[in-house]
Amino acid sequence: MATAALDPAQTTGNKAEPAPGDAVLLELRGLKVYFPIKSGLIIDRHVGDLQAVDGVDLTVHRGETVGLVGESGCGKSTLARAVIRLYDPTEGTILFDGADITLAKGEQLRRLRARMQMIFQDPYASLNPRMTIGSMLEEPMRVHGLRRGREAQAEVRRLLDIVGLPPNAINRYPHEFSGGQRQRAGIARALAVRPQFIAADEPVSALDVSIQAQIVNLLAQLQREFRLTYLFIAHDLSVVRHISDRIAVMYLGRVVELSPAIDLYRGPLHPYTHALVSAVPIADPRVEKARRRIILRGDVPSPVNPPSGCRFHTRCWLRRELNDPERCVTEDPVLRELRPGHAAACHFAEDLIQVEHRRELVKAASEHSSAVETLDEDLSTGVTQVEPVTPSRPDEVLPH
Amino acid sequence: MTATAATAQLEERSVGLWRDAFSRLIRHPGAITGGLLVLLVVFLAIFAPWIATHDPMRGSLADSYIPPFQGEFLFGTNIQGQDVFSRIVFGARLTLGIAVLSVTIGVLVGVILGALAGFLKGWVDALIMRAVDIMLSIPGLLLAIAVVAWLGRGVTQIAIAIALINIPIFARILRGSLLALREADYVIAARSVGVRGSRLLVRHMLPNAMGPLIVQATLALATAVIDAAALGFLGLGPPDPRTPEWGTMLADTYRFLARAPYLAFFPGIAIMLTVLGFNLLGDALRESLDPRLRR
Amino acid sequence: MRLTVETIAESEITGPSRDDAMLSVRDLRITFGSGKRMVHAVNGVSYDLAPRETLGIVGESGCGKSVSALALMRLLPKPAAHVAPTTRIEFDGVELTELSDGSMRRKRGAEIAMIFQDPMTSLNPSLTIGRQLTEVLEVHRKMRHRDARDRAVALLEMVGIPHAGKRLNDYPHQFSGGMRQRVMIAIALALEPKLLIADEPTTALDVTIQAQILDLMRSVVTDRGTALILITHDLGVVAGICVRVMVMYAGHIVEEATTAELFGRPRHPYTVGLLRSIPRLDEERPDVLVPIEGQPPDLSRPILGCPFAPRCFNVQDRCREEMPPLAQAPDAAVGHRIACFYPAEGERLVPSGFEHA
Repeated sequence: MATAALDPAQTTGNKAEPAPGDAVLLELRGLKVYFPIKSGLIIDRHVGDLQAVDGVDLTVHRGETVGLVGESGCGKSTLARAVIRLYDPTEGTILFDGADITLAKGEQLRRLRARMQMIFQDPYASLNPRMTIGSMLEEPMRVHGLRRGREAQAEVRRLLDIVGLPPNAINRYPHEFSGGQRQRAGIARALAVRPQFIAADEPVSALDVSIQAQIVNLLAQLQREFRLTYLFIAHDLSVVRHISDRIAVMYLGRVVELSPAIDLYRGPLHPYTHALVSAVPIADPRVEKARRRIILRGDVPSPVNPPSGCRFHTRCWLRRELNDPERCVTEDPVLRELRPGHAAACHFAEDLIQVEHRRELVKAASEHSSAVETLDEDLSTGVTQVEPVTPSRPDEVLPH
Repeated sequence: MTATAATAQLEERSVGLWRDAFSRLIRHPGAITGGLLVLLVVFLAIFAPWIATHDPMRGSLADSYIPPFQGEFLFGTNIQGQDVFSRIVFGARLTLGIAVLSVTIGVLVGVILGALAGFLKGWVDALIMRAVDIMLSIPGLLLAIAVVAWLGRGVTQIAIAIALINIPIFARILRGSLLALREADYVIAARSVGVRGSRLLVRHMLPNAMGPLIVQATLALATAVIDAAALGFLGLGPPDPRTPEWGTMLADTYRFLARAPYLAFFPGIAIMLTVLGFNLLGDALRESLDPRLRR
Repeated sequence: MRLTVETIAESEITGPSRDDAMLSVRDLRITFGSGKRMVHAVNGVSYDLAPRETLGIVGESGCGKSVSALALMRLLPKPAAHVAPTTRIEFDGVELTELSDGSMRRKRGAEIAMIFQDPMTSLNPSLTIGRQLTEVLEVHRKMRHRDARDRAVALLEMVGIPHAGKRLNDYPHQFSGGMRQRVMIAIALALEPKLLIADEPTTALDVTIQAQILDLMRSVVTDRGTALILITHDLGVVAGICVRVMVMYAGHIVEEATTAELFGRPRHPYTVGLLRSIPRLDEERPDVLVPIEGQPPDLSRPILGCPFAPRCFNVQDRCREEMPPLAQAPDAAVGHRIACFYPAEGERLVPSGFEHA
């Protein structure tokens, strides 16, 4: 029986690619979730749509952890909720374990709920303040007719033990616990129905740094023990990188890059991912000094009125570097595989790969701390050094 | 963290949210004052037969207009020789009875309507809310007067009339709370776990929507007292003129303010203190039930 | 009882302010509430800040970092917060704790400015940002409205807001989060203060916007020679922008060092624990996250001994009885101070994938 003491010697065991033969558990095809915008005096008329998720294809294999990252408005939370059918998809298909669940309702949906669960972000809002932890954990079992009475009680105690909460939590209320403990309770609730798939929506973002590691480790351990499949949504790239096998980067409702976790930092293939990755602060002053940041200009466009063609073209540094090709405005790039297991939605991803190669040279040069000046000499293709920065303005892009 | 350390931290008794609110409530100065006033009125109402010194409905003309604090009649007597004190005491029973009955009906019907509107949404919601809007657009007292004029005078009818004023208010409050709660993470979590329908409403949403409702109910008691008194004052109180009702007592005696001010003074004070008590209690409840002020 | 020992020890060790210090904080103690529910938010914090220096204050929620910054500005909620009489805050030769409210108000903005986490609540939603900028200039510098407007446009341009002239007439809600934070920075720097305090300025922002803002802050602060105190929970942010770092826990400073020293050779077990528990984006293969077990302490109860003791991997009996004073760490660079009796060995934490020179 699992106890709260975790063995730190075990790694999260990232897999670069799902092994052949790993069954597909979840498949999304062309998934769209639009929220209608209504306006009108007496009768509301449909005037537009908030295109939260706008055509997503994704496959998740059994036992895998797929990370979903992106900034505000990218649609990752909406996607997760649509997957577990808290929202109705506007278009597209969701296949779970081979079965089409896109329009599941009633009894089918209820049975589905026992196999897909969700962990929520805010530990203070995701637990009913007037329900004891015990009742909260027993409820899913009762709703699905899984266990009753003494058996249910025993299972509740087991669940508490698994997530590292004391047995007397059964009669306690959520407000008596800290954020980290509440999150554990939320995880226990998700586990109560013995699901196969868990969508974790920012499960550690609201927690203190020192508690985050506890929860991340717990999630990893539970995955090993119960052979769970995770869809892990977060805006913190470092956490996602750590726990995921593959990562999908979203921007304005689309997946712009799908990459093995290991390659995300070393070799991103989409200019947005590049910028995103370069913006994440790393707790090492040496790395920070040597980094080249790509500062994007402007703000994220609204999902109500997304840009034409490639949604990222209004802020894309690569486009600028390539002298504003028209194609970015007129044609929507398709998510295509550029390397085994690594796909990106960019017309000019190959050019990026070339720039990548140069970057390797730069990195080698920067290992010698005082070699920043040498960068200029090594690179003859207009890539300039970055530090120190003159007043940065949003419309000034610093290429790397 | 180890389980033992966590257990050590939770050694104090488990405190539910209600108990926590209650402990804050009893420390609130407004609650203490208001609570005492309300308790006094309730006490008078329950134990009226033992507290009153005389039969409130009987009096002999020989005893009329005796000033207060002068002997057998504590608060003096009125024009018919009835003991004012006893009439105040029994009046408490009547007034409180009307107030409690009307608010209870108001809450029950209002909650049902509000729950239907807030939970089912769609056309049910639209229909109920339009009805509520119409009811709210008629000034409360006028509505009550119209109802009493239609149904006739009598305690039950008065209670119904006042209830009608309250129903739309409670319906709106509950509906508002439910709409907000729909978006709460724990409600969405319950849905994702598979909880549906009535269980979701009763187990997850209603308990958390009670707060504003309780506060409003307490304040509604205050207005019910005023409304009942107003109806009595306007001559729409209980049909038997000998029935002690504070509002009617005021109506009968305000003319004599110059000659016998005490006659109007006591029922007036009674109304005022009762209303004050409920208002203070209601405010204190609102503050102690506010989850943000917890701990 | 133990508190006395701690008080003497800390003020003795930290001593009189350094000659070149612009800001000198001694024995900052802040409590909230009273009686049984008194919360000891800050428990004897002392440090110096030189002109033009960037100092990072790092810690998790409840460690007292924000509260201690508000104390510098004397913006703590009046009856609720109580600053101990022994506290001394000397800024540019003036003792701030002894100033009248009026004098302090004149200093705020003009000499010390602050920006907060949520620009939406820090900006008045019913005034245009132009008004909020010009107001600051007119009130403090007695500028004429036209001059103030010109200066406001210049400030907005400095922080990188396009079409600054037109944007003056916009309201806060017409700006995005990142833009609003830029406006906050413009307002804060309008009077060219000597010290800028930034309390979690980028926590509520998306990562790419955060990079923009941090970049802006870095350049603006360097160009104008403003000293910066950056308060955050994000060690990565601190690594990129600060020269010196202070780590706080339960209202105490537990470690203070240059950035290179702190990240290269952390000595306090809490700092070590933090660094070991955060995942790094550049890790070659997923390193094991070693969490700090347990929870942060309840500050409404007086804590005997070191507040980190229940969670510390080096804990000994002495730690539970005595509060270790903040003092020079053994075998460490001068100025690297820790509050610990049994510091971590200081093994170099090798970041994955990178080799040390």
